[in-house]
Amino acid sequence: MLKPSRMKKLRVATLKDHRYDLIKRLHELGVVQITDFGERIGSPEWSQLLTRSYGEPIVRKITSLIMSYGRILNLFQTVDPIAKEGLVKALFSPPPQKKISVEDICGEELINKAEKLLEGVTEDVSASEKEYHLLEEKISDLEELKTSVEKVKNLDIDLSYVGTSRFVSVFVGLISKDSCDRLVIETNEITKECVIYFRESSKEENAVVITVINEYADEVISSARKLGFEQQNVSKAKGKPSDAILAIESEIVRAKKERENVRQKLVESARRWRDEVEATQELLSIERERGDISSNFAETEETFVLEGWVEARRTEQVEKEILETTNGHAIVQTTEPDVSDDVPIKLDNPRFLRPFELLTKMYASPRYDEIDPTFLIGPVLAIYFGLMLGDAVYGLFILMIGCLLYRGAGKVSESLHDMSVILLAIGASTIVFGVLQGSYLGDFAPAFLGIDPPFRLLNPLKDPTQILRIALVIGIAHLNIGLLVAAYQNLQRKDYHSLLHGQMIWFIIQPCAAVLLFNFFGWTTLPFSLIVVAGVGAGVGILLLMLKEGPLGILSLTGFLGNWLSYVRILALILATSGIAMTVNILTKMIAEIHPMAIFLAIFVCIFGHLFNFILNCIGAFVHSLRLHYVEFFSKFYVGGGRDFRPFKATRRYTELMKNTA
Amino acid sequence: MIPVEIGLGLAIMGAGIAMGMSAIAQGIAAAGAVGATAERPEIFGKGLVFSVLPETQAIYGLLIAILILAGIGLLG
Repeated sequence: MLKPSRMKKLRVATLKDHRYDLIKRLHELGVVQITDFGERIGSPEWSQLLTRSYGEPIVRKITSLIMSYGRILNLFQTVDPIAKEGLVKALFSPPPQKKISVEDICGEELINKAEKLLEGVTEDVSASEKEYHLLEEKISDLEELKTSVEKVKNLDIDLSYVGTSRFVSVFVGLISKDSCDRLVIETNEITKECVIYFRESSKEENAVVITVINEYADEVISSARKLGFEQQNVSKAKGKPSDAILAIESEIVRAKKERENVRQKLVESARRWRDEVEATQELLSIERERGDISSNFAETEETFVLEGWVEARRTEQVEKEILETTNGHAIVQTTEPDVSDDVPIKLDNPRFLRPFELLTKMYASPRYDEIDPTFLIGPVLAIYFGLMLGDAVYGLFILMIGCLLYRGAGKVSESLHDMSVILLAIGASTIVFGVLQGSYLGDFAPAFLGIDPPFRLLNPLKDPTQILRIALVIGIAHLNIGLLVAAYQNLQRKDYHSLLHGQMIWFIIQPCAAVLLFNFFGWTTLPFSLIVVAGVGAGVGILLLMLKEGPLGILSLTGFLGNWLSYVRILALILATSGIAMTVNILTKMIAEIHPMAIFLAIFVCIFGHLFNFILNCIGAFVHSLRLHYVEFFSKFYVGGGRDFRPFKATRRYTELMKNTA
Repeated sequence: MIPVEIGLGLAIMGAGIAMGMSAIAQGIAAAGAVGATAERPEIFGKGLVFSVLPETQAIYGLLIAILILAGIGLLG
């Protein structure tokens, strides 16, 4: 619990014959992180012995199969989209993921099966798919034509004339009204063998027909374009524009109906094949991972060697599995990590603390020889949050959300499960501190119901100095826990220099400063000798600070003071919650007193005001309790920067292995 | 009108200024972070850190205000 899980370096050498079986076994076990042997092969002493392994050749085939499967799944998704759950349903009652039992097949056998399935599916869908795409294209063409024709619908001509015939070319299009005169003049300058005909199309534009003999067609049309003539391609339409539009529309309807028929066929195929395709794609992805991992190995002609990390407590199990899989033809070596090794980090906390690992990781995973601060963050964060939000009804609300999430999406997603446990913890703590602060929706109880809340120990609005003192005590305690942890770590590392300068100084300065302060403000009368000792102690402490950091060391004093005073934010957030809640209640009362009917508006204001306060201060309380940990607390002892343990593990979302073959 | 001693009034004003000024400075820092985040959304995390760092000073403002109010006997 105190430190990340102890790791051992694993090295396995065995015959190539067993390579695939071994990979598969480790993949299903999912407890070994395989590291790349590759870099060391470059060095002369290794390169005489070993060469680099490459991924299995089968991988390329698998990749192309995965892509084909992806394309088919895309098609299925287009024609038969899986309805997305609403956010509320997805969070609070997600449907269980159905899993398909699959046989434990792999290698060539799997590829053959996958190819056969692909063939079957392709045969089933390819004709319809082609037809579907053609119809899509047709519909979009028709729609484009329809927009073009609509633009010139005021022209009273048969559109089948548009285009180039033996002697003349006919163009239709739009041109801005201002340019019409210019168009006529400029065209007449090019040729007199030309007829131009306008009709109003919209407020700014005219529809125009330009008829010109073929000889001058290019020249006329390019000069017209310079004037802003926007040619419409309506050559596929027949008859007068209004008739043409009707014809196109009915054709679109027909095409859409046809497309729907084809889509239904595809939907049938999708329903028939989808699950199997998804499952097979997953099997292929797993197979590809197995193929790819060999590129991390090194090999001789007949043998290969792999390296990795395994949790110390699992070494025996892994060793046994490896020997079993290879019929004992393997050398398995597990060694303690060297100081220079970049050991992967697996946090190791009891079940009830595990959800809070999320908060540690959000900052940084600890290094291998560091204390894992999760056990310190979890409970204290809950206390801070509860204290800061400090309202029993708000707390109940969080608890309810946490409960729903725990029973809903928490069952499907691990991170949401962690989230829900954190919510449950901070919700419970908020209720406790809400009761202690006598706050139920702020001062709702005394203001509206005339009840004086029982069990009230604190009253932040009446007596903030009381909470100020509590916040400062909490702060100094929290900082000293941080210093103690740092001292413990330095003792373990036998780093007495850091211990003296980093922590002992503060253990000397703090009590001395306390004595001097008490004396200065005259809070108590202290014996003179004690004051002298405290003065000397404080002087020595400051001298030590300056010795290490030079004259600027004095700034560490203000820095420490700053960290301590930062805990006053606990008071600030308590005041914010109860202050806003009280304001909402006052507003509600004011509105309700205007008129008996205004009571509905008052209820509305009350609900939304408290909702606003709840959301705002939940965010505030969470960010600030996290900040007190990350900035003030962690700066005393925590560095972090460890790399997470990522075991070689098969992830199965759609499939599960049948028991008898696993 | 309620007669208020000038000293009391000044003290209350001082408390108000202590809070208000520190909050303004915090606002400026946060505005910088918001601007940076608007240009490059991926630095949201860093922006958040830099905007919450000076807020400690805003809290000193609150602390001073409360001490002043407590000192003149309005609180506690």
